[in-house]
Amino acid sequence: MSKLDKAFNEKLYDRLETVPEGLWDKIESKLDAAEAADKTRLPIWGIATTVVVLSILLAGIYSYTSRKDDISRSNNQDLLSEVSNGDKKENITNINRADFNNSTDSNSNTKSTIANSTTNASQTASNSTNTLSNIKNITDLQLDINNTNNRTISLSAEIQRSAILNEKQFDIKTSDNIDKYQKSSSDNFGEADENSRNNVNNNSRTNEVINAQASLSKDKVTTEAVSIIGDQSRVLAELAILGKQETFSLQNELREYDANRLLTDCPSFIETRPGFHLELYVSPDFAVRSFSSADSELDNYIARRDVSESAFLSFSAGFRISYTTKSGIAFKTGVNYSQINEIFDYRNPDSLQITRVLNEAGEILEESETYGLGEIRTHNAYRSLDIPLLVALEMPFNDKFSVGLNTGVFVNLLFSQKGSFLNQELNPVSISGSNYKSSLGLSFTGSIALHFYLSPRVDFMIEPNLRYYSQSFTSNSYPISQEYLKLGLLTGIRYNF
Amino acid sequence: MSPLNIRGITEIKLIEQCLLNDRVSQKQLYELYARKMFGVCKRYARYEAEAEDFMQEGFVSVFRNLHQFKRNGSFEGWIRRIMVNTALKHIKKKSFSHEIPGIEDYKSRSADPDIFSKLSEDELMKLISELPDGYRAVFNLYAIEGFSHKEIGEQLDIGESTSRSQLVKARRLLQQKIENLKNIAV
Repeated sequence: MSKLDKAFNEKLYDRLETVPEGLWDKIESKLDAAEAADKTRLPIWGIATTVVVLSILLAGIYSYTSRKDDISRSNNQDLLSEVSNGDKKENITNINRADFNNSTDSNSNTKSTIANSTTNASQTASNSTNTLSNIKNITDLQLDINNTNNRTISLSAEIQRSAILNEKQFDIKTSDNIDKYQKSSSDNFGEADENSRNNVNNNSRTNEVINAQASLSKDKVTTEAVSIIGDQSRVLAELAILGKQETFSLQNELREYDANRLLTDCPSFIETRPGFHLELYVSPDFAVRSFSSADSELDNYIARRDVSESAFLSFSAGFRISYTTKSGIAFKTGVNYSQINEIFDYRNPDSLQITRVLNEAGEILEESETYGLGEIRTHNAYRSLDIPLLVALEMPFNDKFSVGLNTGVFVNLLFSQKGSFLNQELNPVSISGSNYKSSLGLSFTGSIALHFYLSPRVDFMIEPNLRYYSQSFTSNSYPISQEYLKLGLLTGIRYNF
Repeated sequence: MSPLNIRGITEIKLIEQCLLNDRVSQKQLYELYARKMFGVCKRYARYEAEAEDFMQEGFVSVFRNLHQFKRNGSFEGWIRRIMVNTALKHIKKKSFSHEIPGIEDYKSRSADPDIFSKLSEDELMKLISELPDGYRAVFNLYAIEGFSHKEIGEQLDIGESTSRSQLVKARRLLQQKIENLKNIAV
């Protein structure tokens, strides 16, 4: 270090200077302004991330639940194809026949069993606990059947499912069936009595099934049993008691029912609505604004602007023409009008209006002071006219609803502004064109489109959307940037040509 | 950190209070270092008003970044560093763009080495404030703050050779001004 350097270092390194008065007050006001800005500044990326994550989560949940439904329906189709196959029909009958010990083929045995059930109705009721246990055993037996033949699992499950849907028909059929067998059993009561004793010894499972069936429509205990173990055993019991012919009849009914349902329900046969569409929409929006500047000296100014300009309900409206391919990919364009609204609220706390009443001689007769007349409140609007260029993927879930993902850009055609703001001297001035751009260039958008099919031609749309303006609204020469992220909920009508 | 005691409150306690945005504590901390830091700011500024701006911005930065202060170092050194950085932000790179790197030996022109020690603090401050921005920044950083040319180059985003050149020219200019002062005095 030279002597020159040393002289400066020794004398100036710890030199104390007299601090101008009022400097702390200025620092304090800057700290206040910065803290106020922190409180009012919205976490843009936090909001955007939350929206995206929630959207993906909702789409995932919806997709998962819909897929489960699809799988179930797909199995139902397998059922129908198997029911229509003669070998499979026989297989089903054989399984029932084998496991329930010829209960469907042996008319006399069945009659005697019914007779036994009728005769011992009170015993059935008193042995309700045993019945429950036995019915559970039947369920276990069904599990064994399932293990033997995996295809039968789906078949039984689907019969069960269909049976639930056709519960009313089952009840009627079951009731009729029971009446029929009761009538027969009363005619052959004497013979059936002996046979039934043998049958009970030889085929306890059949008895249990029939007991359950016999009390199905009338017996409270059995109703409880059904509610406990589910409809599976009930359906199997019904199939067993109805016999081969009735079983086929039931299967035919199921096939007819499901065939009709498949015409409308099954997504495998539902495509997107391909072709051209016209979409008309409006969207209430919320615009999240952020001011920034490379010059930290403008922090105080930015804080004042943040406080003085608050968000107000914004909106978008427009129309889109879209073409959707059969694969669900869609291309959209149209015209979009967006208006970001804000309230400029300025009140000069130092403003003071002094009113003096003078006489003819110019002497003051009366004087009053009024504060707060320096208040200014204007409605600021940033209007843009854009052409959307979007690519979408539409995924139908059923005959009433589809989900789509849209992404793309808005090409700005016109951009205008009106209102007031604080200039750098913190005085309110009107927004002038020189401070703002005349075009916003490209902005990026993404949305999740939910389409509800109101009719073959008309859909109702709900589309949570997000638009990011890539450019500052202010001109390049303006010292601060004014950027926006817009969140909206588009609603509209889509007409399918 | 030195266990500085301010009106019965240690510096650590004061910092903790400042972290809670307690304005009274912040003002106490400001008053503790204001005079010394204003001296730092004035060395980098051309005018007192500019030094005030550095001071305001620097202290706002101190309080808003106080949570980043690691308590195993000197708090005064930390504040000083913020003040210097704040001042340097305002010194544009263009201050160095027209400088031609080169070494010039001022020693050959140096007359009386004792003359430096005879100058008062105010005179030295005046001499520094009259330097061009680039010269003043480099001279302050090298001669008074004790940074190396490499560190100065990194802070000002200039080459080491430029920093050396600026320092030499600053010294030469200061020497000329001192000679002038001496001649006037004689």
